[in-house]
Amino acid sequence: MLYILVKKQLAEIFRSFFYDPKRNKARTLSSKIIMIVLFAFLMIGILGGMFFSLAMGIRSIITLGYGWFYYIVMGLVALFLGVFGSVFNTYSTLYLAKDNDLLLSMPIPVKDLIVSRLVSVYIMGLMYSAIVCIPSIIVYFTVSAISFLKIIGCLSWLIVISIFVFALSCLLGYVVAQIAARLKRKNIVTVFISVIFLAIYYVFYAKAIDMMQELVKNTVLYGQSVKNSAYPLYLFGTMAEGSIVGVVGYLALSLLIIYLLWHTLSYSFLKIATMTKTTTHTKINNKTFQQHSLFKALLNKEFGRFMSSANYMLNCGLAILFMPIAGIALIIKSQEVIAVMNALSQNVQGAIVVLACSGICMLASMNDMAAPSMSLEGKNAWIIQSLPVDAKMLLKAKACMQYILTGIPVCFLSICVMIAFKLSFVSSLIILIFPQLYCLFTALFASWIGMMRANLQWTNELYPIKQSLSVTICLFGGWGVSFAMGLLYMYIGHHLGAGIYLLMISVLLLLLSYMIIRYFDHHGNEKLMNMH
Amino acid sequence: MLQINHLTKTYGDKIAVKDLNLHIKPGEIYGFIGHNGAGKTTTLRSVVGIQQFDQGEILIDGHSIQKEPLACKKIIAYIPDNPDLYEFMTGYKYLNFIADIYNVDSVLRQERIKTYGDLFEITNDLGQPISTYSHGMKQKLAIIAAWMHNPKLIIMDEPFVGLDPKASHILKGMMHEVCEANGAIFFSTHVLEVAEKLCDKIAIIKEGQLIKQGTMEEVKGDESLEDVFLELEEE
Repeated sequence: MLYILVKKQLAEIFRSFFYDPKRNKARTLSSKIIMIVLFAFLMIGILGGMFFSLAMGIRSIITLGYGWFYYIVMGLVALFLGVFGSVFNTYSTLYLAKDNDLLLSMPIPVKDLIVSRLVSVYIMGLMYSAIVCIPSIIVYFTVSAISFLKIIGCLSWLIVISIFVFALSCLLGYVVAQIAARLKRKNIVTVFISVIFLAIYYVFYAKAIDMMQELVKNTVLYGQSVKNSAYPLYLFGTMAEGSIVGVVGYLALSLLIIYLLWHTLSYSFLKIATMTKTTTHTKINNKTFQQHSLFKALLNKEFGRFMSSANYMLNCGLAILFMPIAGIALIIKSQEVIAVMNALSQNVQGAIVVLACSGICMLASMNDMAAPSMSLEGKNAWIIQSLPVDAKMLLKAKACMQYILTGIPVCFLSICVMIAFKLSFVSSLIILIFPQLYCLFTALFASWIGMMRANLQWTNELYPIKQSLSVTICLFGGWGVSFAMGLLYMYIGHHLGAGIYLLMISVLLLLLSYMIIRYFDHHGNEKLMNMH
Repeated sequence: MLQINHLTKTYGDKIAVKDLNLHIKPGEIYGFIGHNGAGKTTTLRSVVGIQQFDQGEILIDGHSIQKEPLACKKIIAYIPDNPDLYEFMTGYKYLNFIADIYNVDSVLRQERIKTYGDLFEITNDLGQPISTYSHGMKQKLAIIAAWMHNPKLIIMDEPFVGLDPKASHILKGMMHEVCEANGAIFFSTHVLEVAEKLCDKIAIIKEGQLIKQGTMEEVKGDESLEDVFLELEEE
């Protein structure tokens, strides 16, 4: 039984190699090979290579005789990456598995079910931590001589890290499950937690090089300090270098962790997996039956859809958060930013205004919620298709949602730019108006491309949200256009002056927006009816 | 009320519906029966304008579904075979959304939601997200939504699937009320006993072609509808 369940779990992990969710059918042999090669390239070539470079950068620690300290540093990186990479996976694998109900209704021992799920979680964690651990071990042996004890040590180190990752992922997954089961506004909290994780990741990533350089410079100081005041950590490092005490001690600790984890999960798994989730309940009041116009009804529907999915908000609306943060950061760090902008503008007249517009537009391009919106109608498309709704109204509602969610934070950011750069009245007016025109155009464009490339046959909403061509075009196209706008001014546009240059682009954006609206008016219904 | 003239629809090489002609008058309950894949859903989807067809014409109250889709959709309601509704909405929000689309005023919508919600015994659940509803509850919600704007023609694909016996009985009563008010019902079903008792007229479709249609007496004579259907299927 356990073997069958584990096999099923493994098939699920590696499902994307053998099954194409976009077309809902099995991949061809060549497609399978390409997928596996690409995955290997990504994991070993790109990520492995990245951590190989990191390990190479600090290998002087090993030559100083502080190999154990090197293993502590790399071990912590592996732990961070492993836990960061697999915490949400753990939550969904253990507690959100779609087949939990089915399997629990079958004569399958619950412990077999838990073990099979845990094997899947362990493999994911092992994969993430091995990306750091294996390059670290290779780099270690390029400096230090190979011995039997050292090989046993580093293998134990890899196993211990994978078990720590496993335990921490399960623990955090358990916490997330407990929170999710009790929350009403789960999607908003998921977005909030994800943003915090992202912030930690970026802070860590931004400071990693400085931290590594500091460690290399002061290896002896930090090493001695760890040895004197954090002996278990020291033992963790020596384990990797083949210390018998370290190996035995940490393997014993790992066994204890596995036992405790097993004990906790076997007690809580059924409770959480079968828990009835808290749901929102609308209170009946005068507003419940309030009548809205057709457009407002469609717009409310679009907002409701956006707010209902953490994936949708995180992938298509992150700029809603980024723009106010960028605006406040800009005011706080205005002197530094002005210095950078002055350097970039190379004393070209009006360049600061154009570059600021370009920067705001670039950030605004990260919002593309209208692009997957039509595809997200999915199985519900029959509703809108069978109702007396003009397609142009629907498309404009989708565009309007994006414009509102982008235009307001853009306005805030524009005001921050005006304050930070102490712009003149005319420049301030440009900074306020131009990005709004850009937002209007991108919202209409996203709605249009979303309709042209609509795919209603998805099995997981992440495909239209993350992997559809419409989203890719909007995101990267928006970045490209914004960047080109700034670049073009520096090379050619400055001859016209910032005002005329941006006015010309504004006219172009308005013209294109008008053409899209005309397209909605004339071809929208036909396109909507032909979507299946 | 509904005129289907020479309707033909193909999917690649497969002919789903071939030269189908069907007329439904006000006050009629028209049953549509046939085996799986006979072309029932294709016909119903074409009628409500959510599927393009290759040849023919569909007129609803004199308006062409191809040329004047909005005019047609304003007077019809559709319930598909699988009620995939907006799961991110609560029952109330969904019904309000539908009422907004059809411009039903606040007082009337409140009255209808209350009446039909109580009839189907789901008023207390309307504040919950649709994602928590069972199949039967979604079906009930889809029915209430369809009745929200007092449509002249109601198209239903397997409307009794998932409904409990009491809800099925209520739905049958509601269908009769629509017809008494000079509206019309066109629905597909596999439950021949229901079709036999409920319908004024019936059409049997096989491999995309109508093989028999007319009043219940014309179609079945002295036999049971089940016997007639099985005989026709074997021919």
